[in-house]
Amino acid sequence: MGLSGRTLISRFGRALLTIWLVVTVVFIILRLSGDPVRLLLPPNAEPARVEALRTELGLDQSIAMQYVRFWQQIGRGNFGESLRFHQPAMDLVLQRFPATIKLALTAFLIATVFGLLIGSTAAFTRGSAWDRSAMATMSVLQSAPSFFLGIMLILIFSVRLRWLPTSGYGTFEQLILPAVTLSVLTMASLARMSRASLLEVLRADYIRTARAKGFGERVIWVRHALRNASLPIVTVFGIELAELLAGAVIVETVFAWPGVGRLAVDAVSTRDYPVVQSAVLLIALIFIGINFILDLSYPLLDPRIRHD
Amino acid sequence: MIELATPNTGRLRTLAASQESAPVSKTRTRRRRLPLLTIVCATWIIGLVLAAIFAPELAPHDPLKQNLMARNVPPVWSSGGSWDHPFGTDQIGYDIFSRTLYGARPALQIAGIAALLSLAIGTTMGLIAGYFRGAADAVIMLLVDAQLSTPFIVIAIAAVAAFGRSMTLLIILAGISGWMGFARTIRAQVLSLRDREFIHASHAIGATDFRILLKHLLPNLTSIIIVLVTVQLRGLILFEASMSFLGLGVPPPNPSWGSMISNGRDYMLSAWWISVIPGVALMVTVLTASLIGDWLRDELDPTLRGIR
Repeated sequence: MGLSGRTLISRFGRALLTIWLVVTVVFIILRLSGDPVRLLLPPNAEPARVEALRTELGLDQSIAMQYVRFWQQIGRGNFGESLRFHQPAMDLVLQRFPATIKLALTAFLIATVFGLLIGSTAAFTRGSAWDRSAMATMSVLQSAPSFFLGIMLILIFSVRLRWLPTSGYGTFEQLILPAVTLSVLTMASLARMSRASLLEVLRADYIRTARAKGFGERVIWVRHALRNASLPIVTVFGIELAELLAGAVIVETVFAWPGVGRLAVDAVSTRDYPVVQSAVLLIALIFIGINFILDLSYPLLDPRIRHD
Repeated sequence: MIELATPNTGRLRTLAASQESAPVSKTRTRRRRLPLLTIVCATWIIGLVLAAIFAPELAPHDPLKQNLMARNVPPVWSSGGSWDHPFGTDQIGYDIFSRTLYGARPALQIAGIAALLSLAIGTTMGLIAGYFRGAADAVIMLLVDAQLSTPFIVIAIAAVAAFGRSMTLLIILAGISGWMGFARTIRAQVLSLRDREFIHASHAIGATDFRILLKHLLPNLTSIIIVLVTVQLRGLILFEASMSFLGLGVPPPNPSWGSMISNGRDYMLSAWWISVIPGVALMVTVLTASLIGDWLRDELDPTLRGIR
């Protein structure tokens, strides 16, 4: 068991390539917008500063040179200065990062626990009223836009019942609604997937063999079915976690949660492009990182998968 | 199952996705009657299209006309409501019913055009990758993987930050957001078709690659393409609504469900209908679009089960 060096390198290469593509797209967007200086400096910037930035970006040089300069700046960790807050843009983004992580991980925890619980109980009672109603609910929830769901939760739990605050950051009560909202989509897909995966496994030969050998149902479920069914579920964990991170952009806006996503969206409306750019690069980098780590972990989970 | 034919990346998400489905017999001997649910969904969608087209005739008020004399009027079924504003008005006196009707326009326009756009890009890419294999295939699948492992919404945020918001940009972004699904599925289909006898026969009588692609492969992909377009619509409607919710979509003051929901967020305590009514319209539309997509997929090509 284990990972061959070649696979490791090819996976790593693919992750690097994706990062390269993202940075290139961000560069292309910046260039296509017309005058990058207009985006990167406040409108009332003094001419000397405009000139300085022009030289720094290499705007008087060829596109290729500008591209190289862009990479050099990123390599030096220079993502520009926030037009609004007058501090390095990446610092601002990193300050907001813990809030996003807190939200995403809590949501992930909720989604995993409830998704697997619903999925496996549904599979266990296949065809029952619980199975059918749970799966129908999951389908409906998968169609619910997270921002609308969030607003409905606010309406019910904050406005009508007055149990939980409508927004804000700090207390545990303020975490509940955003985390639940963010978790719903993932929970629904994990529930459906774990149910399907369990049902698939239960048809396998080794389950029949286990039955023939006279194992009790509990042993079969826990030792044979759940363990084998867990692989396809674990493989979507990374994708789901990454999706949660992207979904957080919207949920943070609904609940005024001070995370990276809300920072980026606010920065668009205040025309603070360096902050947008830094947030985009950070979120993309983490997203790619999660996918990469998950890619690596598959062969460890299932020795059958070793090569591409 | 189809996607398992995708050998190059060994991505488990395809494996996982395929496991969601049970094997379905491809031959269908008898024609079933239309299920009631499908009729209901189709009615909603047709009604929506008509509402969008005839919005000027149906809407009781100008969607862009504020009426400061009638602010926060509740819907007709609440106390204080009247038939003058069946769904009430918002905080500056916009008529919610009229705006919800008009809001169907950007939703359908953007989803429709963007679906065609991603169809065009994705099908071309999928055909090239599957038919010519080799370097073109490798590059295209690399792009597919790269975009799948990047949160597209943040790229879209960067684009809106750089270019400013407009319908055109929104359509282009939505179009780019979904081409990968087409490319992967079409590629897998072409891979399974390219070694069939009729293709070999065309080669033998000297048909050009272009002719084979256009005259022999593409017609065989029609039903899959129809299914893929329908399945995509759900995501595209959600994309438009999410971007508009974040304030990055349809430019104001034009009505869009997403921005209407966002607008009502601050008035949940006093006037819940401002966001709940467009929200219900959006959610029902997304749900019906995905149910019709699922139904069409099962009807036209059961082997595609599990595709999103």
